[in-house]
Amino acid sequence: MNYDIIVVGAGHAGVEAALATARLGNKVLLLTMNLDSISLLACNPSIGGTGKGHLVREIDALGGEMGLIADKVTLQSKMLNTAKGPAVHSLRIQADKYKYHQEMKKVLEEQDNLDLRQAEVTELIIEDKKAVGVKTLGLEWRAKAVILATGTYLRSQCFIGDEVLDSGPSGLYNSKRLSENLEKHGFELRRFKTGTPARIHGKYVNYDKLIPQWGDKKPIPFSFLNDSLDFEDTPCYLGYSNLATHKIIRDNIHLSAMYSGNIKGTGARYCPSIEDKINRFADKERHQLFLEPEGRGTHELYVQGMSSSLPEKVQEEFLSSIEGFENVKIMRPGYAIEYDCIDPTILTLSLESRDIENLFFAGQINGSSGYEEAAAQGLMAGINAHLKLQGKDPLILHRDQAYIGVLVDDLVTKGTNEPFRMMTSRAEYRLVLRQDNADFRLTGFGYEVGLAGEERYRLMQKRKEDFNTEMERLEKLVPLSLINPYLEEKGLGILHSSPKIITILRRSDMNYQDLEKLGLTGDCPEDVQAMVEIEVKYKGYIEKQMRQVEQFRNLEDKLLPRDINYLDIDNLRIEARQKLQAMAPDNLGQASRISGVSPADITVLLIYLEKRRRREQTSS
Amino acid sequence: MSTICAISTSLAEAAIGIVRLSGPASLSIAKRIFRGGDLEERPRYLHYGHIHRGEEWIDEVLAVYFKAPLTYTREDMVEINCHGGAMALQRVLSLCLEEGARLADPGEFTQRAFLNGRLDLTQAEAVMQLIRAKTDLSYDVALTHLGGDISKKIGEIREILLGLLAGISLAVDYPEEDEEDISFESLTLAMQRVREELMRLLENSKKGKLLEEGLRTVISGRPNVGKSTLLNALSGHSRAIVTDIAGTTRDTIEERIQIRGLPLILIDTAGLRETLDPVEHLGVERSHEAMQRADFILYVLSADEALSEEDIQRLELLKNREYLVIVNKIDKNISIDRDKLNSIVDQDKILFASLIKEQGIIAIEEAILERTLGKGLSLGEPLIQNQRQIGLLKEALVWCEDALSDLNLREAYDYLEVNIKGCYESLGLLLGENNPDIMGEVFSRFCVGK
Repeated sequence: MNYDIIVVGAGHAGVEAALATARLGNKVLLLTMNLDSISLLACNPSIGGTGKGHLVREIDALGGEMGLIADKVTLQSKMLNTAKGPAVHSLRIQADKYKYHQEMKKVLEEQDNLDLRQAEVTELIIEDKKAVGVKTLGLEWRAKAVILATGTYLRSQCFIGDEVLDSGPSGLYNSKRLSENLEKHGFELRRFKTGTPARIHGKYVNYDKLIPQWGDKKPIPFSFLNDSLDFEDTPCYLGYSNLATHKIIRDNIHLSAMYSGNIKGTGARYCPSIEDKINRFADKERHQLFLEPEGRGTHELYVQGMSSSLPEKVQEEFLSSIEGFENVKIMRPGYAIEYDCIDPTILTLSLESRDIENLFFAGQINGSSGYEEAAAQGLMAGINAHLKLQGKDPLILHRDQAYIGVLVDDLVTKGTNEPFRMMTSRAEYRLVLRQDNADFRLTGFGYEVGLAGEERYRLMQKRKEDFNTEMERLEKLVPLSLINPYLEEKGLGILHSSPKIITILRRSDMNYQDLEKLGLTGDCPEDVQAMVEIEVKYKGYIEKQMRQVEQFRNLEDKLLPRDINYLDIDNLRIEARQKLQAMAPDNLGQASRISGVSPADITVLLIYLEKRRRREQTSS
Repeated sequence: MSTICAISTSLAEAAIGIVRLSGPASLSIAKRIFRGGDLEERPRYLHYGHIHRGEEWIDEVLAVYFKAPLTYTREDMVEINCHGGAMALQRVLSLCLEEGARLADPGEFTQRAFLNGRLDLTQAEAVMQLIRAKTDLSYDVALTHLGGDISKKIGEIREILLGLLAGISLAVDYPEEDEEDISFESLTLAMQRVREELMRLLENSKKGKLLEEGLRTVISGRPNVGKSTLLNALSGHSRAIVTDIAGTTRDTIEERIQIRGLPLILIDTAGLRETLDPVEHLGVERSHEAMQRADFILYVLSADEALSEEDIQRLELLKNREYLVIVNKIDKNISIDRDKLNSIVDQDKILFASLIKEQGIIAIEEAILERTLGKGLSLGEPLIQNQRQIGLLKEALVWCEDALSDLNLREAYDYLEVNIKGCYESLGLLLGENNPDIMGEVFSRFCVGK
């Protein structure tokens, strides 16, 4: 059977890639080793968070699926960082792990042009340096492009104490033959490592000794298609380890897989095991943990903060030393997992292999970590595989346009030495990359590609109109007889000439609530009001950032043709020549971010480009 | 497109040099600082006039405006011919930078000329080579110029800033960790310290420029008090006479000397009255100008004459300047009123000498050193000298001030971070390194992560 596109793996990257390509009209085959682990939340039962919440909003704005499913399975929703500035407001939900899987599986099943099938891919079929299909056990599947989204399943091993399990996460099968096949095709594989804590039985937790954590009263949906959410707020619980816990861990630390030398892979610094924390920060008297519900239909709880690869017995022992956990019962032990991944610098910004055409990579195989990071890559790989087959230019989101752009550019241009997690501090232009304006930034692109539908586009246009109308309305003058008594009442200095509404809103001691009391609000929807307020209050900062963006754009807009032979450009330093030749950057901006390429090299390239342009001009 | 500027002539000891501007804002910048003919009205014409910084007079210049595209870079350009030597050139350049121009990168005028189609294809190779060579050279120079001490100092400031960035990053990227958010108070304290350090570096950079370009020292006083003798005595005494320039434009006599490593440009206004007697008025004016532009003034009195009204007036004018009063001819009859002198001039600024007998010269040298270098600057302290570095330092200071005003307004972390990062990055450019590993810092300092 022939397909347009085959997607290998149905985790968070794979499902977005498959849905995007199928929705764009391609005949798609989505292969997974286990239909029951589609979109598995293998670690935290939660979606979003700092940086990650931005990714989900962006995926949604482009027409992806993650936000929609998350909205359907919310157990608790929280906007984080509300006091720390609008650019870092980050949405996070607790998700029902089982329903998340079910809902996503159903969407896949109902999607036209999409075949969903359980099978282990053992080989890529590559002809003339082009990916043309895959082999599964006993079958061959042909396609025009292949997207690899294998997650943590490649040659994975799990570690619990000195036990080494030949398996994927959660006791699922791993895949060894595809790893070997990738190596045969010349891909160098690396080992990364991550870990997860034990799941415990909720019936045996003494909640009185823990602090409940509730969600927001007025939850905001992830998806721009949803106005509101309806669900029953479910608490998480906060607790702490203590000196007794730490002693148990310290006394047994030699038994941890992390310290036994079994694990060769590189772990992420932002995802330390409890062994790591105690070892590296010996003077801390307690470490916090959050109990997160795994779903409404289960008592299983995820113990965030206590990731461990100690032997099961020790895990039970140290957990039971925690207040509230005296009668703890582990349902699944924590473990560390190690898996194969590629060095993402072998990819172009469209996530295609530079050596093998029509072969795309997305998700954890690229060295990233996290559901949201994976989904974002899956979506972009899907869109770009489609555009490639259509003979169109790829959709490259830049660092000033989306967190997704930062994510992909960081991975592909800088590479990563550890599982890569999105953080707001990675985004230079985050004042313009807010979660509230993701649709303004991206829905246009999604619509143009054909993924964001009419409804989504219309809603975005409506919000834009509302925004503009409101900005215009704010230009109106306010009579002194209205504003001055109000200011006096608040103990603020009075004004001597009539201000515009916008001038009042810009003041740090005024906001929309004040406007409402003054009867100065129009019929602008609340979500748009919030945006307007940010844009008005922080105009100076946003403009400052926009100027930086403009400068950044100067280089970003200068494309580097594919056929440049950098080794021949004498005036580049040798190191720069080699790096540029190997990485073949898309544009001068990307080139400038490659380590070993200096500002002088960029100037030389600028002149080289101009020279080349003039040559072409005279010859045509 | 930004507007760039640079000194495009050698900084060596030439009497005339050119500051060149290129880019869309060239004319508007020039118009703000140049008083004289109408540049815009008559392009490609050499206008006589003066460069001012607000009310402060900087140099007497000839300026010309070239309108795009018929220029070297095919952009609007302005060239300012300065007459006042290296110091004046630097001042005019600084002024252009203050007014919004950016210091040109090495070879950037040529680069723009090429990119804007001014140079033909055959020249491209040469342009690339030129830029390669110039840039490498300037980086080398920049690195060697930035001594170990200064790198260390700036490194320390960046360390502070990186800590703050890590603190902010921790607060925004890990909102639910068991770590306290970095407080406004500690941010404010740290940024105040950064501001202090930056200001000290900048203050020293002025002294650094003195060391590089020389302290403009004007010898002033009524006729026949011994000004020329002082000039000769100081230059005769100094071991290294660098050069002497008989100024052609201003009819002052300049002499370069060094006092124990401190370069001085001695300017004797003595000749003015005597040689230009017929144009008395002009002479006074020029002497006045020289005083205005001086970094340091040596005012000479004669002990055998009473203080004149003119002396008193002039000494009053010196109140806010760096100066010394030298009472010469103490070997003669003392008729100067010392109490009166003391009432106008601080006692520690008054020195007594008999220049003709070579008495008191060492004391004068000591006092000059004390008054210039001695103030807050030992030669062991870090100095920043190069214009680009000073520019970056100033930029860092602006970011720092902005951050402090944000802190004052209790702005959110989000916005604070923009300015603190800007400060950090400007200093990074100074050291030629950037890409802060903020996350690395967070993970090494704090125990966070699920």
